[in-house]
Amino acid sequence: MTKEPNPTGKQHHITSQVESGTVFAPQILRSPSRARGGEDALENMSYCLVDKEPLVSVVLTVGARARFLREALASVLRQTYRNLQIIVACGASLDGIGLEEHLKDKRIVQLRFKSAQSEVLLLNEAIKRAGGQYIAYLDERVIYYPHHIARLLDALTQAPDCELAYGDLYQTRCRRMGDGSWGVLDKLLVAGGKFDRRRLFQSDWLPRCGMMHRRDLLDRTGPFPDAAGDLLDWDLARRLALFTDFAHINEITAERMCPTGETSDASGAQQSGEDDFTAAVLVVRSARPAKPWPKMPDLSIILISPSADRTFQHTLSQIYYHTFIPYQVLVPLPADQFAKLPIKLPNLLAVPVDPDASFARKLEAALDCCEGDFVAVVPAALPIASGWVEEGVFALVDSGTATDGVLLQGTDERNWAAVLRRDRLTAARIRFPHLGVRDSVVQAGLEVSKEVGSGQSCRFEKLKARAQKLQQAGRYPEAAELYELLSSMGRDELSMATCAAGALYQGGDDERAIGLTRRINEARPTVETLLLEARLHRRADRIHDAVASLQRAREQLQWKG
Amino acid sequence: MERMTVPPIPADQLRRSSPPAQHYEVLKELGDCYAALGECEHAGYCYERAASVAPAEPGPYIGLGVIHLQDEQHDRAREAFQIAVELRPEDPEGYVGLAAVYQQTADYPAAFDMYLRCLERDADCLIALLGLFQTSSQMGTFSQIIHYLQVYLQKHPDDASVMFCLGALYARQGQFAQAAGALRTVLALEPSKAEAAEMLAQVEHRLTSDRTQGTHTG
Repeated sequence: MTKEPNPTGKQHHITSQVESGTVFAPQILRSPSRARGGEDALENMSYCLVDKEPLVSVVLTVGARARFLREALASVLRQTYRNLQIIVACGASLDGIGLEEHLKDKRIVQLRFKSAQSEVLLLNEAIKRAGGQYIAYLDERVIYYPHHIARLLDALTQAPDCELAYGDLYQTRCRRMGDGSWGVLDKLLVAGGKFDRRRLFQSDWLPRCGMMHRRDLLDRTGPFPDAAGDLLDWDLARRLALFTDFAHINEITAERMCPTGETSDASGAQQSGEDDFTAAVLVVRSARPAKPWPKMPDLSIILISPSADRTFQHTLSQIYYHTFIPYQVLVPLPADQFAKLPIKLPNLLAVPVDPDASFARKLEAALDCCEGDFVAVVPAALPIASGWVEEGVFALVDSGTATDGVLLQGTDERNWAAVLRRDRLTAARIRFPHLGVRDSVVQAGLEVSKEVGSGQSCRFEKLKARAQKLQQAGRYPEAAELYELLSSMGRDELSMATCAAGALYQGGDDERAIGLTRRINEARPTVETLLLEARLHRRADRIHDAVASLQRAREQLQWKG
Repeated sequence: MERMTVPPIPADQLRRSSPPAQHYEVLKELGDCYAALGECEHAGYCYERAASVAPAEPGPYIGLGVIHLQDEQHDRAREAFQIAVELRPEDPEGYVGLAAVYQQTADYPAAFDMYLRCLERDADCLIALLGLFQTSSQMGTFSQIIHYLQVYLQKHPDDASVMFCLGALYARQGQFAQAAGALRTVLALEPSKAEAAEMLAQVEHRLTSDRTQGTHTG
C-alpha cells in the first residue's frame, strides 16, 4: 500500500511516517534501520509535532555509481536545518558499504527495491512518500553544504511569490590520489545567475540538486516522465517554471562530484547517443502539463498545407527541432493524410478538414481546437530557423497588450506568416470570414509589427557568442565591453562579469579588471574569480594580497566529503 | 622537506588537451608568491602539493629547483630541474635551471650546453643569453654566443644591455669595426652609459692605430 502525497502539510507527514515504518508496497523492502517499525515512527511523530518549522523532504536517489553515497548522505545529515525527512531510494543493497551509522538517523526513510530501477521510478516512488511541505533533491554524487536547506528555505520565506528556490552549484572534478583519498582538481560553477524563465526553456542549466520547491507544485506538473532520459532536471525545471517564479540565492550551496574520466548528465548523454539525446529533447520540449499555466503563455502553431507532402514534413520537423518554448502544433489536414505524419508526440494535434478547404478555412478549423494564448500562422513553405517564433512571442509578451501580432521571419506575399494574439485573430476571422487570412487581419485593424529579431533572449546568446569569438581572436577590449553589456542585461550577471574581467586581464587592462573582480568576489567568490584576483595582485606586486586571495581559493577547493 | 620522487602520472593527466586543473593553478601561484616573499618552506610545500595534484606539469619542479638553487642545495635543484625537463622537454625553463645549477658548481661546459638548449627552444630568453655570455667569459670561448646575441637583437634591437655584450664580444674577438658599430648603437639608445663610451673610445683608438699600421680588422 502506498499513500498519495498530501501537500497540505504536517499531519500527513506523521501519517506517512507511521505507514512507511510499518507497511510497504510488496516490491519494496523494509529498511533494517526501521525494523522496529511503529516504535521509530512514534518517535518521529513526536519530533515533528514539537517542531513548528516546515518539514522538508530530501529525496536521495541512488543509482549505479554510488561511490559518493556516504558523503552525500552525511551532507544531508549535517544540515543546520534539522526538520527533514530524508528519503533514500535505491535499487541495490546499502549493506556493507559503511552506511550503517548514518542510516540509524531517525529522519531517514529507505525505499529499497529488489533490483536496479530507473532513476525516474526511484524519484516518482520517493515523491509519493514525501510528506514535507517542501522537496529538495540530491543523488549519490551531490554534496550539500551545511546551510543548503536553510538558505533555500530563507529565500522562499523572503520571496512569497516564489514557490521554488535554487542556489548555485559547483561541479567538482576529482580523482583518486596515490593514498586512495579523493583529490579535487577543479570546482567550476555549473548553475548560476538570476532566474530567467526564457533561458530555462531554451537550455538545460538548472540541476535539480540545487533546487527546493513546494511539494504541491508536483501535483500540477505531474510525475517525472520515463522518456526524458538524462534530461530529467531540465524537464522538471521547465514544468515548474510554468507555475511559479524561482528565487535565486547568490551563493554556492552544493557541489556535484565528477570523477575524471566520467561525464555528467546531459553532456554525457549527448556524447553517448545523439539520437537518444534528440529524442529526449523532443520529449522534454513537447511536455504539456495540465493548464492553466500562470507564468507562461501557451503557443499554438498552426501549420497549413494542402497535404502532408515533403515540404510539410520538412517544415514540421524543423518546427520541432527549433522551437523551445511550450507549444502545440495543429495540422489541419484531410483525414486521409494523417497516416503520413512523421512525428507522434503529445503536442501534435491533427485537425480533420475537407480536402478542398481553403487556407483560411483550415486556419479557422484549427483555431476552433487550439488552446494557445498566441497563434503562429505558418504556411508549409516558411523557412524555420533558430528563434523563429520565440522572437515574436517574446515581443508580444513584452509589449503588454499594445501589439496584436508580429510578422515571422521569412514571411512574404505568397507565404504570409505571423504570430498573433489568439482572441484578436479569432475576432478578425469572425468579422471577415470571406477574406483571406492576411486581409482579414488588415481589415480588422490589427496592428501587426514588422519588428522581428529584437527579442532579448536570442539576442543575449548571439552577443555572447560574438564576445567569445572576439576573445578568441585576441580582441580583448571589445570582448570585455560586450561581456559587460551582457552582464548589465541582468541575465547571468556575475558569470558575464567574470568573463569581462578575464578579457580585461588578458588585454592587460589590470585597473579595470581588478575593480570588477573585487566586486564579483564580494558578491559571490568562486575559485575562478579568486584565482583571477590573485593573478592581478601578483602582476601589480601586491604579493600579500595575492596570497590572501589564493588562500580563499584554496579553502573553496577543499574536499567537502 | 622530503626528498622528491616523481609520482605516477594518471593517464588523463598525460593528455595535454585541457588546461591544468584549478587546484594546481592555485597551489602553483601560491608557491610562486611565497617564493617571492622569501618564505621558501611554504613555497616548497605548495609546489609539492601542486605536483601531486598535477603530476604531469613541470611548473612546480621549476619552482622547487629555484628554491633549492637559492639555498645552494645543488643536487636537489638539479634533480627538480631534471624532472621538469623530462616532463616537458620542449619547454626552455628546465634547461635554464639546470644551466644555473651547473654554472654555480663551476661546471661551465655543462652550463653552456644547457643555456644553448634553452636558446634553441626560446631565442628570446634573456636569462639564457646572459648566462651564456657569463659562461663564455668564464671559459674564454665566444664563437657560438655571437650568433645567439645577433638572433636576439634582430627581435629586440633596442635592448642596450645585450647590444653592449655583443659590442664587448666583438672587441674581445678583435672585430673592432663591428664592435664600434654595436657600441655606437648602445650610446644612441643610452647616451649616459659610461662603460659603453669608454669601451668605444678604446675600440676607436685600436681602429685608428690599426689603420696607421695598415692592418685591417673586422
